Amino acid sequence: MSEAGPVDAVLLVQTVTGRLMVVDGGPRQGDVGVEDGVEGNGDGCLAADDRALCLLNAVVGNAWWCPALEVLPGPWALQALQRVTVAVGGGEGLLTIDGVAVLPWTALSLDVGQVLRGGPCSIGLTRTIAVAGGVGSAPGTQLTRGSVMAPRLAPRMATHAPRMATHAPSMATHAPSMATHAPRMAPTAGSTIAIVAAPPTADDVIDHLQHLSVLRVVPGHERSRCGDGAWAALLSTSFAVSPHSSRQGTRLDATTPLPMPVAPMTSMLTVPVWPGAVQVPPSGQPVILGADSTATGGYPRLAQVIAVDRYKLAQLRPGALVTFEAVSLHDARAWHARFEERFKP
Amino acid sequence: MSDAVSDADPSVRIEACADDALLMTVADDAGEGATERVISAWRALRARRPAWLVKAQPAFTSLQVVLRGGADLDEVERVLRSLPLAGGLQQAHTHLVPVRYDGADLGAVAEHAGLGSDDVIRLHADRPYRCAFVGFLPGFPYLLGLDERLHMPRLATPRPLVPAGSVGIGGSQTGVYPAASPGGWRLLGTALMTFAPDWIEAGDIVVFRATGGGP
Repeated sequence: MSEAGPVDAVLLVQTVTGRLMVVDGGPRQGDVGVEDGVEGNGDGCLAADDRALCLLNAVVGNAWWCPALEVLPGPWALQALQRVTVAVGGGEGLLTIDGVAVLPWTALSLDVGQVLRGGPCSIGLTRTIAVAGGVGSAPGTQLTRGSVMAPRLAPRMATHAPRMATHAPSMATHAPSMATHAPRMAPTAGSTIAIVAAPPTADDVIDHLQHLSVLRVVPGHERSRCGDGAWAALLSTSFAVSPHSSRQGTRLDATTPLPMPVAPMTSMLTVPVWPGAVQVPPSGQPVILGADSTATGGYPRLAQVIAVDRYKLAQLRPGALVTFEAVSLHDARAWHARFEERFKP
Repeated sequence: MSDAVSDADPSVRIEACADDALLMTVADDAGEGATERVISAWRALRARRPAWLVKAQPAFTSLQVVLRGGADLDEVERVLRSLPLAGGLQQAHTHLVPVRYDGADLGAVAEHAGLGSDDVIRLHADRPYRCAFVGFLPGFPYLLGLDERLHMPRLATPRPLVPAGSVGIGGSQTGVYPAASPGGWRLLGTALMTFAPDWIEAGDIVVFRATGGGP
């Protein structure tokens, strides 16, 4: 980070409607939330769409956890101050370089002065912008018009942009033949070497916005205390995403609140919580904890959205209908392991 | 590993709380004893830094352990069960926090307790509170040791904005908001200092000192 000064600045925020945030992959092995002294995950830096973060960092040749940008809802415009490689994904919407449409999920080379524009999402809600070398501002930083972003690496180190980098519409990085799943090596901040995941396949990209309306769950820690009625109702009800949802939590509205016994509401000790927890407050209307959720909570957790589906919370639009589907803990763990093996090497 | 395994030590339960997290419960009730067990295990796990560990979060009676995908659950359980459950409070620091007792709920707390405002201040200040864990917000301590006469339910409807530095009561705990936030605790006063997110660690001691000064 010490290399990141004005001389290294690569992108200028020309315009943004809504919120443009610096996010990263959150705690990873070796961090354990110790260095920053913050054990909570309420420090506002975890990527809401962590799947897009991983896939796009792989596209631009970064380690999976590298800081990137998350924008909601847009439109937005970023101008290159240096030659820089970026990739945009997550929600679907218009994407142009100097007015020419370009493809999401591909490595895009921006020359000095070129402007990358994104419209609001037509499908999904949140867009992620990965920058080769990562983004220099601290995770949690909200960027506004005029903000300048520096790469996380010194320019001499940021030489690992994918060879296919181009802003001509191209499916190059989507081509199955490119996806060997073999991790690559790349330099990262300082003199250490990071392992970079192989780029995503076309199927990985297509899957991102599929089945957004179905959230797969395993039973939450207080599922038995919530009663069979609440669990059955959760799995048989369509919920509308409330406009009061945020990065802290996705609030759901049901015509009929979930039937909850009184006991768990009043007798629970505060416990640690983790994004994806489906808490049921006394109103009977569930809240799914998001990337900026508090680290502890006192409402019973009826269910837990599985790790590989958690990113969907970033893409659910207010008013969208969602349902819950129960899966086995064994399957959920296997899917999570497979994803991390590929995209978090 | 099964979803709930606790055969070896009935006082320690290790259960799945997510597909990528386990909850290790080491006591049934909150208190100084539970805090020592939780903090001891938490400190030892942090020091060990196993490759499968993403994040560890303590609370009153339990420790949540977030895992990398594909972690060997038998190995995880073996490590968790080997963690010490004593000795973790020895490195505790004591923090003196000057407070101006001017909180919006001071009168309501006094009325609830059948006391005068001065009595509430006397019962709240100048006693050691143990930080059971840091949660809710970065740097928000859940402090144990509140006089039973001051136990009071949280607000039915949380305030949309509690100012930074507010000292409050929530149920049987007291604490201080390090940053402005929505919150449902009863507000007793204002701390006359600022708080970095890492100002306190689980296991530390806090003493509130009544003062009339400050802004």
